[in-house]
Amino acid sequence: MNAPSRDLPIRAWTDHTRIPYALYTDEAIYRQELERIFYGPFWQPVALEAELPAVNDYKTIVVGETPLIVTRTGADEFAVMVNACAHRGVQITTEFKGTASDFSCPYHAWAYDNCGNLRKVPGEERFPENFDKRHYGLRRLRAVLWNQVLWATFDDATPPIDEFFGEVADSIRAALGGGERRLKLLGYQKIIFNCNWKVYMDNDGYHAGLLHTAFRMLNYQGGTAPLVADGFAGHWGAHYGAQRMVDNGYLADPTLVFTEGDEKTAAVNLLRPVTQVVKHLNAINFRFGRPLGPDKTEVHYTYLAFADDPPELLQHRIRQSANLLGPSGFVSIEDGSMFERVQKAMGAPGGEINFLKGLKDSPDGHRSLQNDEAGNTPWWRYYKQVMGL
Amino acid sequence: MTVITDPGLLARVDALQQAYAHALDRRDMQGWLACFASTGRYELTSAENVRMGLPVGMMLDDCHERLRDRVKYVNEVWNHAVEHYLARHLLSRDLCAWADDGSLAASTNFSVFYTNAEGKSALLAVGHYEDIIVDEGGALRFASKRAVMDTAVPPRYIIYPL
Ligand code: FES
Ligand SMILES: [Fe+2]
Repeated sequence: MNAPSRDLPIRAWTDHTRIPYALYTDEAIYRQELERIFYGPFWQPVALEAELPAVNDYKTIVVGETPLIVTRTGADEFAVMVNACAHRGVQITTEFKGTASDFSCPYHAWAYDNCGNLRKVPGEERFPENFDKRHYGLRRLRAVLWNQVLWATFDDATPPIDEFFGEVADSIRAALGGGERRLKLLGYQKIIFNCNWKVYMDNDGYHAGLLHTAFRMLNYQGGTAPLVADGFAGHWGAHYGAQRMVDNGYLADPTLVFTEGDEKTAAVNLLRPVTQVVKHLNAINFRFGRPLGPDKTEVHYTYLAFADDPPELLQHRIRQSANLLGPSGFVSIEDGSMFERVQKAMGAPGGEINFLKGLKDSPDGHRSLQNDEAGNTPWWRYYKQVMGL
Repeated sequence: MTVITDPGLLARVDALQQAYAHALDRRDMQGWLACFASTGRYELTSAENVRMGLPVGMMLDDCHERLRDRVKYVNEVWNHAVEHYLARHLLSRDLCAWADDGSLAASTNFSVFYTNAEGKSALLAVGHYEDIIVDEGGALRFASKRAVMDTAVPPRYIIYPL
């Protein structure tokens, strides 16, 4: 790791429960985060297995600011590579998804197989003597399939995935069906939130139920579960028995908020740096964020069902997925609004965000209650360290 | 499907589309609701999802109860928390034809601009409507309105239907 750059605005930041606004607004901090976090020792999700069901399926995704191609190269084999030609750096494909057994660069027709090996090069006879195709493949990332999700990392030092997620692994597994059930892709919601990626992560998982008019009008109380913050970077996870909604006559179609079938648990996971795996009622979603500078974050919500769902349950999941927890969802639109308001308030010089609730009982933040702020602090402790601040 | 050329009928279709846009541009959710038939449905999704045959989009009001609930969300539930914006719909009729069952199938291009509380304006989404229109008690209404955004990633969260 490099020494912190000199022009970072934060030199004497001592307390990881009090976060200076500048960390969410400053361009130099943002550039350093790309290096140390997004390209650092983190596993980040690049595809769900359900998104690439057949051999030769591929998708593109941007991690940090780096475009990637993710391909299914065999029954259980995947390749993750940087979407940049080894010749002159051209983006190999601009499609979001497709099927291809090889990729040809549109510029000078260098041809790669779907693992990123260079196969054919027109005009090679006039290249220098020592030109060797084996040295000109697409750059590959380390990748591992875990819980039907393909995770990748830019860094050789990233710890093994079980160590990386620690105790939070159970809650992730619970959100994705416990390991036995196959996931099925239902669709995407994509949105730009006008806030820093850390504002999004600080606020999307935790906040008091006080915000949610929707739940209040339905007379719904949640949020009593224990929350675990663990793993390599203070991921947090809550896995809890969900209270069933009772129809109080407020909605004309209350099935929107009902739980069907035998799914009695809910799970909310915030995985560092910017992933969430959520199951609430019958909606299962995977949220992956891409920073667009210090004050914008693009979030892709991927909705899932189980491959063995009976038709009525599948239909119920589709309706709930489209309407409940996304950026324009009945409940979650209020969250989206708060992210942007937090960011706007951060213009004030010298201001700071304070994490307070739950620290009395859980000073290290490892175990707290679901609506506590203590769970946010292990991540910030790690952030301080990895950023060299 | 037979393409409709009757100017009187096209004028009635255009009037329905205009009433729809007019209501949304004035945040008149009751006016929005009034554009739907008693069995009407509304859906907002992206061309990307449609291309891949994926059923989940941004909004899915697949029965009249859900349309009525959406009026409630916007007017009562969300009213204080969300940051409101002003929408402007620009519509342009693309195609209008008789469907086999006697309803009208209309395709209309839209671009929707938004202006935030500070008065800054930008494009919210571009796309087209795929509508099924029926005559209900002498008035044209949407039996189904599906807004398909070419815009895969809107620049802010969407509060009002497009
Ligand atoms: S840049 Fe790709 S072949 Fe030349
Ligand atoms: Fe919330």
